[in-house]
Amino acid sequence: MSKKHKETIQKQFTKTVEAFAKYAVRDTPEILAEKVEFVKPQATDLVLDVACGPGAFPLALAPRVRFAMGIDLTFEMLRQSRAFQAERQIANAAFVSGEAEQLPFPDGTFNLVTCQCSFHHIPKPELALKEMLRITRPDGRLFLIDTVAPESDAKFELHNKIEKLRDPSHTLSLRLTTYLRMFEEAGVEVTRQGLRRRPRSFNQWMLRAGLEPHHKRYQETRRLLEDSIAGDRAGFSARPQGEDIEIVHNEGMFLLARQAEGWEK
Amino acid sequence: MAISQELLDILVCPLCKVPVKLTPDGQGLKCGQCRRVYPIKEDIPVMLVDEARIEAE
Repeated sequence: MSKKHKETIQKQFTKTVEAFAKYAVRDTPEILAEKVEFVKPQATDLVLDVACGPGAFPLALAPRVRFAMGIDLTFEMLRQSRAFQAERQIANAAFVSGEAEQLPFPDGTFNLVTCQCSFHHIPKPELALKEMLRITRPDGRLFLIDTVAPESDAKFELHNKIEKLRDPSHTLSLRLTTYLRMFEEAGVEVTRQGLRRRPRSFNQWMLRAGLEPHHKRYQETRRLLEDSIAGDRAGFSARPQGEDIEIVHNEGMFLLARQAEGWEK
Repeated sequence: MAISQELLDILVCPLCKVPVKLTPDGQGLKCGQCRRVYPIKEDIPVMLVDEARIEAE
């Protein structure tokens, strides 16, 4: 990843760490619990969550596994993770700063490597996937979650334009077909897959990016989104709700394992 | 909260992928191969190549 893009990510998430920790906590406790169950955590698992943000997922997994670690590019997020960890008195978790394409762990270390909603920030996701596989044990599993962009070219373009306007560190939300092709090329198979519609409040989504109604970027993003409502031209299934707008992210959840053959380091 | 021993036991240099060792002052983690020292801030290891300094020895 270029130094400039890294700095854009760090700047975005340092600025928004408080909003991020307060407002979502993207997931409700129910959705977080659903994700924990989805990976079938084992008491013997050593887990790493890549791009852990304020640590919600590794801290939710910790009580169910041997040890959970979180890594993130942004120091402020790790500070927040540690504060949550102390608050909940979780002993079997630790946090480290690092980047997804150069993970500071030996080959075949973890039983489970997870990564939520981060691939859309990474300019070369196939490199990050390869690196995550490197540190996963041969019999281990990898769990990826991210928003899935619309398939049609026109919707795909507008969808990503809105995402990028809201958050300059957004690189690209990928299509489902792109994910599946990337997995095939990396020699991994999908052992479990889920697609979920996650309705969100537009205003809270903007707050998580540090944007409020008086900000110019809030207004521009809102205008683009509103213009897309007729015909759902950006694939957000947006619907006005009083002062707010309900939007929907299609979230793909993929549990992956190495194929017996075809795996190359 | 002190720095996690579990973490110290497995961390490697993100570039060389060889184990890093705690520096005598406890403020950094040094790679024996490229001699980069990764800082530890508030008990959080910062394993970013851009933030490491290279020691002469």
